[in-house]
Amino acid sequence: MSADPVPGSDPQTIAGVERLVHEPGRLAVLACLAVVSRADFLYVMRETGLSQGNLSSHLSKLEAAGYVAVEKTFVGKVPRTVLQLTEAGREALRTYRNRLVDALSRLPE
Amino acid sequence: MTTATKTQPADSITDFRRRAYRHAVEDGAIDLVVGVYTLMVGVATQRRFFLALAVVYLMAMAIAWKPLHDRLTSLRTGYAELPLGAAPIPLLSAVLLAGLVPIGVVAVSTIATGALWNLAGWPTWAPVLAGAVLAWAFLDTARRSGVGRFRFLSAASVAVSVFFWLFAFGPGINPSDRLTLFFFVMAGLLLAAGGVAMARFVRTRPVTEEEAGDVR
Repeated sequence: MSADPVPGSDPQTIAGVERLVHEPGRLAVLACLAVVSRADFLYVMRETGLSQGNLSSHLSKLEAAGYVAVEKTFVGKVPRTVLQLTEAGREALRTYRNRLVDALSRLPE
Repeated sequence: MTTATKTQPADSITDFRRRAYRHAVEDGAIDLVVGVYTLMVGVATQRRFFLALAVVYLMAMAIAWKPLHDRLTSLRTGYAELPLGAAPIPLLSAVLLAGLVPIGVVAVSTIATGALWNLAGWPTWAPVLAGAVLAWAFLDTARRSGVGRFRFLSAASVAVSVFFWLFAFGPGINPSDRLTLFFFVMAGLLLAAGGVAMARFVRTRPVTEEEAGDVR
């Protein structure tokens, strides 16, 4: 027996959350960068628990979307990859949160 | 479809914020810097014209903290910058306030006698004012970072300030000395706590051989 459809519910609302942000690993990266001004690769890797390869892959996608700025520098002779959430990234995170909260509130109990 | 990673469950923003603050204070560098500044403020309670330079010293300490912190953490737990206004400026500002508040109260209470900061007019409870300010600041840092030693420092601020209020010193210690000694003892505790935290941090967080990974 199927449940009656909830008035106002719309599958597109749930599907409308941005998949780029919705992926758990990338969401963790964005959330981690949202609370700092800047951070390096090692810090983000430790905080998110992602593997080196996994994090690199996610950062490539986020950088391509313009959500994370990546700067390669050196500290003495040691390379450092510095990551910073862009304004577009902050806005994407904010939008994702609002849409998810809205979508979840429409789900049947 | 993305396979489940071996990461922990998704953390809230609050958790990330607390861990970022923890990253800023867990290495002990902030205790050392705040400890040195506490010593300076303690001296300034005796030589009050130094208080005029206290803001300059505060900025100097904040600037000195950054390279020390980076050197300790960047190759061990990574590099992260907190937004402006985060560690160590709130703690340094609290130390300055802890010096200014009792000095200001004493000024108000002694000016009526016609002799500003006259020793006979100093209230012996002046250290308690300083202790209350520091206790609040350390407790706030403990709450933000989850680092336990700041709760100890908060309790110590209260205990030490009450001690210097109530203990019956001999005639060699005048009322203004009680406030100065309070700052000196707190400076010693901060330096000791910072040293222990730093030694433990260095021992338990090995240096990574190279920067982990690269963005492809």
